[in-house]
Amino acid sequence: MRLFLRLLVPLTSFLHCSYSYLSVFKWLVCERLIWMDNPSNTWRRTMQTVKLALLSVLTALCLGLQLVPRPMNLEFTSLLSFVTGMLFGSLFGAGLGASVMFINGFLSPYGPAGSILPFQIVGMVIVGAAGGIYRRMSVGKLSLGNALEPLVLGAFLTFVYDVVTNVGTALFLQGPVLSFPQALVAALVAGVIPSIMHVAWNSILFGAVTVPLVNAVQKAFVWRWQA
Amino acid sequence: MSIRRRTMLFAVLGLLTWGLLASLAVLYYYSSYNDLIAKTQKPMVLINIGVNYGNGTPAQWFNQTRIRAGSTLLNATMLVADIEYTVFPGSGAFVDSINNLTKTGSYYWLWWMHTTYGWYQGQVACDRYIVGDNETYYWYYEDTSVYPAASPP
Repeated sequence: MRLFLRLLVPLTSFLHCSYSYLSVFKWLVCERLIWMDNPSNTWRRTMQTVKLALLSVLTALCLGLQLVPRPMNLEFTSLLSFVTGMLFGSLFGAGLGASVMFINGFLSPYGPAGSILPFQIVGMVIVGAAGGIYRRMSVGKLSLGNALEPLVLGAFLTFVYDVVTNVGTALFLQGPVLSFPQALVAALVAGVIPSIMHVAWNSILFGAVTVPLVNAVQKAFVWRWQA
Repeated sequence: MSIRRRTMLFAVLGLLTWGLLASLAVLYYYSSYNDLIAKTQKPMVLINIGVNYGNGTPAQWFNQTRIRAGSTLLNATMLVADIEYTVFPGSGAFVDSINNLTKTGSYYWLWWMHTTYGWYQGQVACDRYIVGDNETYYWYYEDTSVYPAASPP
């Protein structure tokens, strides 16, 4: 199993990276030639292709980070889904979160996600979509003074994610003895310590990284905002 | 959205998260405290421990094992078997081998507890679980690549 995982991690990253390179190649060779007759079309297609390439790289990055050993409850998928949602819109953020959680559900070093996999996907979709909504609330460049907002959002969204995944656990626990609300409370109470750690890590990450990262990407890809 | 409303929104979100987490933490510590009190009412407790080597032979049982109240499952297992374990900071002790049968490939030692609803897989490390009077535990050497893990026969 370990050997299988060891092989799968680089293979997954390789496939994602290959897809990115192919997308960039396609943009360089094909689309620029075919669509050059209409500058507007060229620009639009370029944006889509570069966005897709960037998203593939981000997915590969998230998966790589998900699969490496790390301190308990520290994960970067929430942050990257949220930031992607901010930069590329809710749909892309949600898509990134869903695809990463789907693959992670089978390859996680902590074992397969099993019945809570759909809930993990829904939880991460919410985080990614929230990034897009937050972007619409924020006008212009984010200042470091705004870091408190992502910090609060990081804590809130992580808690929402944990509640959603605990709903999955509660569905698994409920039965003739425990009703669904009782099972949900039991799952939430039993999992509160990992949840607090998860919320703490993500608050720090969202607070410290979101604003500088979004501003840096905006600066590097200034064309994205002009489109 | 005005600055005032925006500030209010984030303040409410922050307070809501903090309030709910704090309430759940209080419930968690309250139930853990009651559980510990219940398990340490007597000075000594009697427990049953089964060890299944996963080779098809019946489990080896150590019934009515006496141990000091407040002991962990790791302490109890050390009374009845030779074990080796690794301590992972933050997570607890992970049993590597019992009576010289060491984890191999996807085969690991998992612990289970018998409840009125059947076998329940241990959710914490064995050195984090305080044993209770008349409880039954089961060490099972099994394939962990299968989900969910097979419960004791």
